[in-house]
Amino acid sequence: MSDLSSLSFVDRFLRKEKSLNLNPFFIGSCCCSLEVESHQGQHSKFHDNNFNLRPSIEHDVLILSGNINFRNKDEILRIYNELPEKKWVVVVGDCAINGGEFADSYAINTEVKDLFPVDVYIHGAPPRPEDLDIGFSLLKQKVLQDDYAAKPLPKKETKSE
Amino acid sequence: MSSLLNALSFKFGSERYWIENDRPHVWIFPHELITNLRSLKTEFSFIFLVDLTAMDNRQYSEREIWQKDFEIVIHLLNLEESHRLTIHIPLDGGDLVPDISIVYENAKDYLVEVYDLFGIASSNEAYNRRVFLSDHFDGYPLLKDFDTKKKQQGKFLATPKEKSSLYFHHEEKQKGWAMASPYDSVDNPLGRFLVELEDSHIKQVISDLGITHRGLEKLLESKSYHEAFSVVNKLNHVSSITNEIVWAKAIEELIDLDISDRAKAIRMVFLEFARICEHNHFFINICRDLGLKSLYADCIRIREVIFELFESYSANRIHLNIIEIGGMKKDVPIGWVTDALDVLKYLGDKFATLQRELTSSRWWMLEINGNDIKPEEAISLGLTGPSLRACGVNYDLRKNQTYYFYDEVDFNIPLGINGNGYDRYLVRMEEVYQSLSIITQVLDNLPIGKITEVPVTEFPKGQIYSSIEAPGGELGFSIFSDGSDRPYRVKARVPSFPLIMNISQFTKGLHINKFNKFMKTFNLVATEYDR
Repeated sequence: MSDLSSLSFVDRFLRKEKSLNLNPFFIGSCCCSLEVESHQGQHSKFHDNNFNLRPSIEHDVLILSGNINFRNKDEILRIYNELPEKKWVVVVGDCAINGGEFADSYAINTEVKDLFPVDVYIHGAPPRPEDLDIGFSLLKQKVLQDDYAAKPLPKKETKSE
Repeated sequence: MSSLLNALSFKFGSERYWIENDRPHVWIFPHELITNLRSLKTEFSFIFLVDLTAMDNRQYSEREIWQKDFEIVIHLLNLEESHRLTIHIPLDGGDLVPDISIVYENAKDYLVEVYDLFGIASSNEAYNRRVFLSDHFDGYPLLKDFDTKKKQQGKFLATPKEKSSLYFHHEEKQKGWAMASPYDSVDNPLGRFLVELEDSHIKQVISDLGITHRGLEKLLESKSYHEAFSVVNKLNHVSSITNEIVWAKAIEELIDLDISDRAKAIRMVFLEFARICEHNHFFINICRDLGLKSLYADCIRIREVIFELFESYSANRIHLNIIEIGGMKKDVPIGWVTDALDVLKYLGDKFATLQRELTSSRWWMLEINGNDIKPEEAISLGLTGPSLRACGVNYDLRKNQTYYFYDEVDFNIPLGINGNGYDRYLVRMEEVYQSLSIITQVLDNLPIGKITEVPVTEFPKGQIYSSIEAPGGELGFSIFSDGSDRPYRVKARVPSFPLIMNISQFTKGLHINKFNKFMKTFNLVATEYDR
């Protein structure tokens, strides 16, 4: 676990609360979405890293799986931009990461890293449940550290003479 | 040789009629096509158009019969006697395809697809439009001279006032358009639908498909027959093993290879487990939509149990990769049969609970029933599988065109009456029980022997269409081989394509609130029809 001892009690509490109440938006069309759904299931053996799914418009995690082709690229980008500024992106499966088995096809010509910054990549076609669990626990660590890939770089202060 | 085939050969003469791989073929010039199709439909009762596709013959090594660049291939089916007939229509470069939809209504869907992928125009202007690719797409991908490295653009349909489209929204109260984003649930994006409304009832649906188009058919042309398994099994991810088995079966019929009894029996077991898995996917989708949390959790658990059983066979959970040309890659592990019988008992209990909770519930019936589909409508639109049987048409390839040991096991074909969503539910529920019974019978009498033949390295020139009864309906592959180790052209005949193309007709007059649930009752998988 990350070292949070330097933070104040309130900050630590808020981050812990955030990490336990992530509300993901799922985009998926293929086998990986079945695995994600199984991982979230009630009888799943992975209790620790489940999400509390609530009906809400305010999502803060994007879980993306399935191929990105020339048709759905704009739609995925639009959904990404509609999410709030502070967001985490988890990409599940080889198909979404680099095209996977379909990388040679004429329809697949986008890698996800060209679209937006990504926090956690989970490889596999589809990934095994254990891999998914490791990926989601990594996501929680990033939330605890308040570290996200879409974070704008700190502006360098120009020294006044 | 049956009398029907005799009559066919008499009608077309030996020049235009031939038999290849035990299947009758005929070729017809485009200008006399419509009259011939009419007589085939009325006199020979080929009332069902199974599939229509095109072929680019420009790089095919020998074109003996006709020296033309393109051809249209039609597969017809005689429902009563289960006869199939393949029709070839030679075409030159700028020729128009005659409007086949005058005779067979569902040809309209396939003609649109042929224009989209080949650029072969039809004489009816309405069919010359894009379906999977968008208007911004440059070129026709299945032509042999298409540049696959080109960067493509594609946009969705322009929508009236594109606002936040994550959920349905109504533009006006009385009349207007509503739009659903493809990504409104955990999985199964089907496409974008523009719904024209009148008093909150659906007047027309414009579907914008291609959300998961991956160019599967073109990709298969660059893979060898053995490599293709890892691509083919992603066609329908819910019942992945079915795709592998159809692919292997098609190639085995092409090279005329008879696989061992044990391999056939094991394949049957997996086909039926895949059927349970896909029908269970229907329960998962509907229970999630209706908010039936505990039943939803039960269904997820059922899927998990089946996946664990698959895992103990092949170390993979979804894409098993255990089929090879000539049999199976792996034999049954020790103790697997006992595990499978335990799983069957568990599944029987769980589905009995589902049936007890749902079947007699009036609320459930009202939620999912939707519109009726008439049997003659279903046949003319080319529906197969549970959607066809829910209308009362008794047609199942496992009985009518039997393969493997389906003629030796004892099972029934459940039929519906009205063809609405509730009938489709009942048919699926009963099919699950029949599948459990089939698996039990096969596992009790599992033949002993080898599981695989000698490795296949040579593939003859020729063509084959082979199909089986997949969970959603007739799933088949047309394979055209030019003698090399790669297919020259592959066409996947998928059961969900006729359903999604006619969704406007099925949902006419339906209340907008029921649209989503009604779509789920067809159990569509987007990756299957988008290809």
